[in-house]
Amino acid sequence: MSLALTFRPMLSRRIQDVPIRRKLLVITVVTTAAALLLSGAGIVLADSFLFRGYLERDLSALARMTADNSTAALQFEDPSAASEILHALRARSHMVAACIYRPNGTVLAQYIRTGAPDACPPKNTPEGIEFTKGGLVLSRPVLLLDRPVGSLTLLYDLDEIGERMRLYGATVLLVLIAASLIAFVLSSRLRELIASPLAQLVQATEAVSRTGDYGIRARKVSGDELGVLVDAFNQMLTSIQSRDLELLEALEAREEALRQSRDARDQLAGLNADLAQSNEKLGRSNEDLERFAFVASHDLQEPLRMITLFSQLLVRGHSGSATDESAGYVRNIVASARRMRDLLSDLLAYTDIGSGSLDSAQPVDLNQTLGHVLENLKASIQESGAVISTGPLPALRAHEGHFVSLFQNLIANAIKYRSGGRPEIRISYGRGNGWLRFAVRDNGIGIEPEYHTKIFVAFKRLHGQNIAGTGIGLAICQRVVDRYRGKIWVESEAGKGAEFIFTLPEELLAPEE
Amino acid sequence: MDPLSTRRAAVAALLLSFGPVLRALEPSQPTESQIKAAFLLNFTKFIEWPAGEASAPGTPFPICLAGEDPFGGFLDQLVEGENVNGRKIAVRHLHGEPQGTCGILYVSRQEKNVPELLAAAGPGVLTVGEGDSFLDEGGMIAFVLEDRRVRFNIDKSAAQKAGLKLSSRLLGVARTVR
Repeated sequence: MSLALTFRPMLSRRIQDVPIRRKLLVITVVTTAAALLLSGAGIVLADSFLFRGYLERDLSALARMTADNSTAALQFEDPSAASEILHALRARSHMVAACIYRPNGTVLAQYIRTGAPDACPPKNTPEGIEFTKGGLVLSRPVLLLDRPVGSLTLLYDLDEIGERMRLYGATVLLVLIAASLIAFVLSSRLRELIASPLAQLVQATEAVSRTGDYGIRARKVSGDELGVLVDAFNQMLTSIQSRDLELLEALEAREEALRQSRDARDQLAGLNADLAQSNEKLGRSNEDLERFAFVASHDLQEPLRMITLFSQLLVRGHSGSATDESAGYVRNIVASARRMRDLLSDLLAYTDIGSGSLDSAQPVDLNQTLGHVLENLKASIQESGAVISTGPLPALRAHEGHFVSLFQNLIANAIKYRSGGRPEIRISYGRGNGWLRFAVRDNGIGIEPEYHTKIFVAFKRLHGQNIAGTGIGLAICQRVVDRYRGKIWVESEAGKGAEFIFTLPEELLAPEE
Repeated sequence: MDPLSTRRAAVAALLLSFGPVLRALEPSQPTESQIKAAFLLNFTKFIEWPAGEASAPGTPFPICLAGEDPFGGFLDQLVEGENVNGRKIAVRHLHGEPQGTCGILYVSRQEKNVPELLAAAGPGVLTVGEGDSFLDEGGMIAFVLEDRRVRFNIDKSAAQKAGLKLSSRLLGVARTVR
């Protein structure tokens, strides 16, 4: 069992690896042999069956004839005549013995084949035909005019059956050899029919895989399944070829695109580097500039104070003696010095906004901040008679000084650029969409839309020397709002007042206590 | 093996090979005349008689014995119950009277005027006699002794002349056929 299990896969694998033309040969020979062996076995079986019947009939006829012939010999007690009759049987080489018995059972005559040891058996064989171990035993009465006058017994060996088997076996073997030879010869023709189209295909396949050239085509030899296979193979090659081409083109296109994008990226990187460099340079120079402005404005304050002090002393000490002209000069000096002081303080404030960290910011109640601002502006408010109304304002985490500067500049501007009547200033606050919105509205002279952005640039002034100002106020406002990541803009038309609006991110709200 | 037993074995073999002959000599074995009687009867089974008086259906088939009965009445016993073509067999003993109708005419050795008897037998009669001279005198079948065995010679042409058909098997067992 295990042998058969291991043997079968081994055999089948071995057969599978054999070239097709040898398979064809094997198939042809095996089929032929199987058919022959089967038919041979069938013939032998049928013959051994039929032959017994034939043998029976043949021997029966022979026995009957012999019996008929031996009637006279029996009747006239003639053993020699009987012997003569029996000796005619020696032509049958398989006849072992033939005996003629008298009616009383004694032997009248017998034929014993030379070499056969047995004499005639005693006459006790039942009539009829019987296959025994030794062979066929046939016994029949000798009848004369339907009356028994003796009996006949024939002994026939069955070597003939074996002989016939051997003959058939030899015949089958010979035919088998001949058929195998013919099959072998035929298989070369079959090879032409099947193996050579296959070989074509195999050649083409090998050529394609060796060279990678999909332009190769297999030659179609036959119109059968192999022909279909060749067609399909060629079709496959065609489609592979076209796809290969497409792939190649796509690859090239992609490489081109890659190259271009690499170039673009390189360019961009260069630009970015340049930009970063110039940005850095710019930042550095800006920083230098601010430091310079801070240092200059800070250090200039002290001599300016001296100038102011001594000018005032001059005005006070010589108030009686000095001419009106010189007194006027000194007053001008004082006024200029004051203006210069304002300018320096604004500059300081401006530069101060950029310095310092917001981390140190403290909660600032803008209502209080606004109170400080109004206190600071008390003089000009009283002078202008301005009416300032305000709603409740939130508390922010911030430096209070920044918001003092912011509100003070906006309110001072609103008062400063008033139209003829009493200035009315409304400060409002709202919240929405993640933003805190502040507005400072006035009823002043308004700003023409074309200047709405320019006014936030330092030292850009619309009204020249008519109205006092450093030209830094709105720049400071812009800078504060920027510092807190907010936006500031103005909505206004000439003669219709202005509304300065700034928004700040909600995160600035101080946590409520 | 000692000489004595060898001789004994040889005698035994001899006895065996001549078994039938020896048995014929035994007292229980049929005598020569008995055998001849049986042969006479058996001849009827191998011979065809022409249509005629002797073979008229319904009548017994006559076997005529000329002269003294050599079979001592044995033939009469033998034919009891036997028939030829469905006809009973009747044995007729002729003592000099005319033959009349006979199927077989047996002429014994004691008969002197054989030719006369033969001449008297018409066609369709099988004539059986004794000794080779019987055929010379015109008989058809003659009993002879050969090696103490009863055998017979046949004159086929005589039988044919008489219109008898002898079976080839009968001719086959005859000692001579002329």
